[in-house]
Amino acid sequence: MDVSPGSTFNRSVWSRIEAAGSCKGLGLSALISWVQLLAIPRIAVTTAAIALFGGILIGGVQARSLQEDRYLQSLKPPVAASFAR
Amino acid sequence: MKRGFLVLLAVIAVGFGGVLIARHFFQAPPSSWLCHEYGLSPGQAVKVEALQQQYGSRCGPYCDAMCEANARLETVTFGSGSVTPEIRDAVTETDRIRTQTRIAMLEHFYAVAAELPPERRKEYLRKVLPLVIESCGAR
Repeated sequence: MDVSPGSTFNRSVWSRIEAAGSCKGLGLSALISWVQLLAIPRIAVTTAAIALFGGILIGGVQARSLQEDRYLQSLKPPVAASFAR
Repeated sequence: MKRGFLVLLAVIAVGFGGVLIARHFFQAPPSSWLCHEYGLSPGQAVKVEALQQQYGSRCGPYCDAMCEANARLETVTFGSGSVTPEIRDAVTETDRIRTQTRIAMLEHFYAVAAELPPERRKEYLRKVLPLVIESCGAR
């Protein structure tokens, strides 16, 4: 198949590349504008509250999933002895 | 912009703080996992906790004896050029203590298993028995 420069195929490839580039720019500018939004006290407090809630949720799940390992560790004689002392 | 980044850092710190606080506060005694996992009644939970305490106090002297026996073995092996009767005795002593410890572990595991629902005892033993088998050396 002969694809000559300036054909429909080439144009569509270039337009896709341009679109991808502009999306990257859009993502970065969205991030920057989001960071700028954090300077607003009300949004900062809300975001911090969400982060705290998420952190507590993750920490709770982690603590629960580590319980089985902690129990098995506690059965090892030196650890069991340290719990009893 | 700079203020926004500072707030972002503070938000990340708050999130991590939340994780640490939750991990600390949701940390329960090791045997509480057993009670929750195997649905033990409060009476059984108290009994299991007592067994754990008893097991811990039994392990203490074994650990002390093992440390002493290992130290003696180290002294006699480093001070010798061949296997002497003294070294043989020291090796036998460490093995004797290890055997006693493993038997104490097995006794505890079977005592705890007896408190669990009968249909889940094997499941519990499958989890804990490798601790005794491992102590004789992993292959």
